[in-house]
Amino acid sequence: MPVPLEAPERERVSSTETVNERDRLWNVIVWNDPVTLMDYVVFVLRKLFGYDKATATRLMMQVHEEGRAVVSSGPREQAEMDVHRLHAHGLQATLSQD
Amino acid sequence: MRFPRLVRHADGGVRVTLPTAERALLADMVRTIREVIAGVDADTPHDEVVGRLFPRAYEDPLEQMEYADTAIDLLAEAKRTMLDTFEESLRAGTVRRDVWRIDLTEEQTAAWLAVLQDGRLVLAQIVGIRTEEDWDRLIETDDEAALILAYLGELLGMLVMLLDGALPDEE
Repeated sequence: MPVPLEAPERERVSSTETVNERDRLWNVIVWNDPVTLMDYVVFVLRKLFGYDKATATRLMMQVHEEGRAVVSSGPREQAEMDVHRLHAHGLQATLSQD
Repeated sequence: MRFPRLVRHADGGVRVTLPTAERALLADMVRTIREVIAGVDADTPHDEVVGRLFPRAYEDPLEQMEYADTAIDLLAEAKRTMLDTFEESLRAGTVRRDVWRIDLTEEQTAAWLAVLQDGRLVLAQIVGIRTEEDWDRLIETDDEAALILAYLGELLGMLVMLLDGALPDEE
């Protein structure tokens, strides 16, 4: 069983800040689909999130083998924007909190 | 005559060289995607094909509804812009002896990536690809949609390979 990758976080909220439910970090998840080319997924992850090839390939393989991978984390607004950009590139992506 | 369909220039640009019949096929694909996108809005339930181009962002129905209120229109507009740019590139370039050639701009190259991917998603849904195993039954088929799906995959794969080398390999 592969060890789940931990996606780099764009922004960490300081523990001293008041954090309400809506401001907690949101994970952006890319889901496996049987149509999208593996190389295309790697390319889009590199292009959108600036990952190096090894990181993007590991995330793609996690999507392929486990069905999903967290590709970024951040505030809700940023996560929604990331999902939107992934959808614009034809990838199946959702956001959720742990 | 055989020729490389996609070539990357030293300056980073991409040259496309295709038989005019393949250009016509790509124009047909654009029309198919436009038909799928036409009339998409947040209030209309999505069929499976539309759902491939406009996936859910939230599992929770209420949160999805809130998100879709603004995001669906934005996504549809982004896809239409990509289709417009892609279509403009199909009309540009030169034709000689039934071979079409164009040097894509950066914007056009981005549109090619997105539109080829959307074209594959739509066609795959039409030919019934729901799992990895569904590909096996397409290997022997001479169904036109399946052949076009394979062609688009080859073209997109070539484009990704050319562009991937240009990305900086660091975070």
